[in-house]
Amino acid sequence: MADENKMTKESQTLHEEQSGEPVKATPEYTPEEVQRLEEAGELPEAENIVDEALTGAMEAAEDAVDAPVVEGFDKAVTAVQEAFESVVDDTSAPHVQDYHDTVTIMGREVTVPGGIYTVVFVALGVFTLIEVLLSELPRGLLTVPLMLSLAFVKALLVVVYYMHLREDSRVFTFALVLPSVVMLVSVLFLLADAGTGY
Amino acid sequence: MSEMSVKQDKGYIAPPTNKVTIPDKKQIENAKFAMWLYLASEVVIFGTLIAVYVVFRFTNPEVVRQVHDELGIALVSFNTFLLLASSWAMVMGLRAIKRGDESGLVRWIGLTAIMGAVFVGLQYVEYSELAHLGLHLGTEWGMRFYAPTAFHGAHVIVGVFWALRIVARGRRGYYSPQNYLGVEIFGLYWHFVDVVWIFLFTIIYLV
Repeated sequence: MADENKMTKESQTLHEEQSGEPVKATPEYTPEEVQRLEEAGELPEAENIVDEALTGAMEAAEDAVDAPVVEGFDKAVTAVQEAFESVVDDTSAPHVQDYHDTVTIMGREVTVPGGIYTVVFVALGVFTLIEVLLSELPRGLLTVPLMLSLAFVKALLVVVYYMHLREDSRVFTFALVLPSVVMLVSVLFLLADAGTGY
Repeated sequence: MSEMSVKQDKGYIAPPTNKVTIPDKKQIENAKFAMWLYLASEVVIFGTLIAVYVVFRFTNPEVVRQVHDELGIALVSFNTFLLLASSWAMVMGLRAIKRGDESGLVRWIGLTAIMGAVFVGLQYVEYSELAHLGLHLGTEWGMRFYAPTAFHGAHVIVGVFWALRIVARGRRGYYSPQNYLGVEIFGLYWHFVDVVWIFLFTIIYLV
């Protein structure tokens, strides 16, 4: 507090030196004005306005995470997680998984340095290999959708396990899903009109 | 120096640079939320660049097929594995410091930086090959290809320097099992760069 006063005093001195005029004190509310503003409910609160605004924004975001699109993404995340864990059983709670080197793969306990993180890395490598092999094969009707699906699953694995989205706040999910959906809708609009000279 | 600035200099006390503050839960959540918001803005930017390529891919399938035939996918596939491995090294570094293994943090994040640097180097090799094939920025395909991939490469370069900073701080003992927020925030950035590449690789090189 003493430092703040000191800085204020320095600023005041500087201003007075520059302008050559004494700095006038900011007038305070008179008791009558305070009473009138209180009755009208217009008295500004002395709380930290930035903090209040941030809290309000967080609450609004918390409400927004119940939107159907976020719910849908949540279901996709859960589905991938469940499918992955039906093969790889990491029984530890998410917040302590960092400490386990043993995971169960198809009913067999396997100990690898890094535990679930290493298993996810191997899965990412295998999926990439499948994608590359698919791209070298003759194209069928399902080739492209299959490759895009594999890319989506790989991205989800990174987001869920490496970026810890499964244990973090759902607001973070919302922050990722909202722009992704906007982007996807925009791409679909562009594709709908792709042949018109773009 | 004027008298006024001397006064200001005297009034300023530089904060200690080697002070380690342990972030509380609220600070951690705020920092992570801020990073996610930043990543959200990146989604829009990369999404736009990818959208431009996708539209071109739809309207000019022959051009894209010709480029794919000439370029091949061996180099870029290796680069993709490299970036996936760097993401794994990144998360292993975070795991190490959570377990109190400071030297492990330095080793893993150092490995992340090396793999990121090699990725950028190989991307340069690929660009050189493309230039020899006449596929430069001025071609219709080139501008749509270089924009997303080079922008991604720029992110990898930033990430490599960021990783080196983490390594330098880690060597000085800055991080601990109680203070690893900086590593975690960098991890979000690096994994996001990885996620972007997962889509770029599939959409630009494979589809």
